[in-house]
Amino acid sequence: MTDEPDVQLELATIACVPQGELAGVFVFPGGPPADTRSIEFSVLWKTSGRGTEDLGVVHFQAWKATDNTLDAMPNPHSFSIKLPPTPWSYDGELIKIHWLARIRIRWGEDGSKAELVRDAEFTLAPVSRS
Amino acid sequence: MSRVGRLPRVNPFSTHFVQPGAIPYQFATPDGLAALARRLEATQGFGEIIGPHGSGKSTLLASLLPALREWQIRHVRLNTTHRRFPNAALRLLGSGWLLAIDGFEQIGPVQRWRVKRHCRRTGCGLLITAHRSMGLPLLHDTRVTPATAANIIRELLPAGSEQTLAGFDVSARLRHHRGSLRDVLFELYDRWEACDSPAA
Repeated sequence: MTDEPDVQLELATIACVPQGELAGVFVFPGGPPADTRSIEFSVLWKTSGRGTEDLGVVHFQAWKATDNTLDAMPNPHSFSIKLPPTPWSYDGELIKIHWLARIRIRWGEDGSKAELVRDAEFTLAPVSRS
Repeated sequence: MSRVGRLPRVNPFSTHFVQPGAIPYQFATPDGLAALARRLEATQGFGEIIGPHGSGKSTLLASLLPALREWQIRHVRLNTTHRRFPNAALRLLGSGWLLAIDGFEQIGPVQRWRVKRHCRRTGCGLLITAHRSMGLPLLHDTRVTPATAANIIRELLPAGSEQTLAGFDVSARLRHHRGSLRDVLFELYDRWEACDSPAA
């Protein structure tokens, strides 16, 4: 099986405004592994804290070997995603709201559980206070 | 400083890291899971996992079920907000099936008797978790020792953040919470927030 692939995910800014755009790029230096099964790119928010967790995906894009879309994936891949008005990033004591861009790559033979997830966290709020 | 728009810091005691299944159940011996599977086989699939609230019964069940490959499993989770036993879960169960009920004491004694009788009559196994014995062969008691609790806490804490535990007596806190490791971890969640807060 292929060694763990190298993927870099970079955002143009980590402080975004509601209904603004999240721009960035991800790249597989040297290309994705030959036995890549799928690559997924998503932008999502999730909660963490003491209680039940929640999650919302605002953008999802996938390239798969099974439908021959993998070869068409640009590498590097630039993206610009329109963000929703809410929920705003929040760092509370009982609940936190995280925003992140996420790359997930699965590789190996069918049934293999080999996967790698890379996250790049950013904030969504009307006024940037990093 | 406003908490809105701030990059949230990760609390190592948040639900994501401590929910059932997130922390592997810690046995005293390395072959704990395999030994439990063998014991359940020896009792024709009848057994109970007992222990106090928050001591890892659901975590153990979540770890054990995938190891029971000889059985077809129907898993029912009951708790204080979902107390009604789905009678449909009994349909079509028979030999080769294992009914796993997490929180068996949530249903009434008559329903418990019915479930046990149904499983005995049909040859279906019955594996339950409960706070006290429900009259099935004891498979495992999940009472948490202070040493196990300390191990789990150490594994959750990121390197270099041991100061969060300064003056925290794990043994005393475990006693205070009547053996509930979950409540100890909730307390540590709050302690982490207090230590990690910019206002602190």
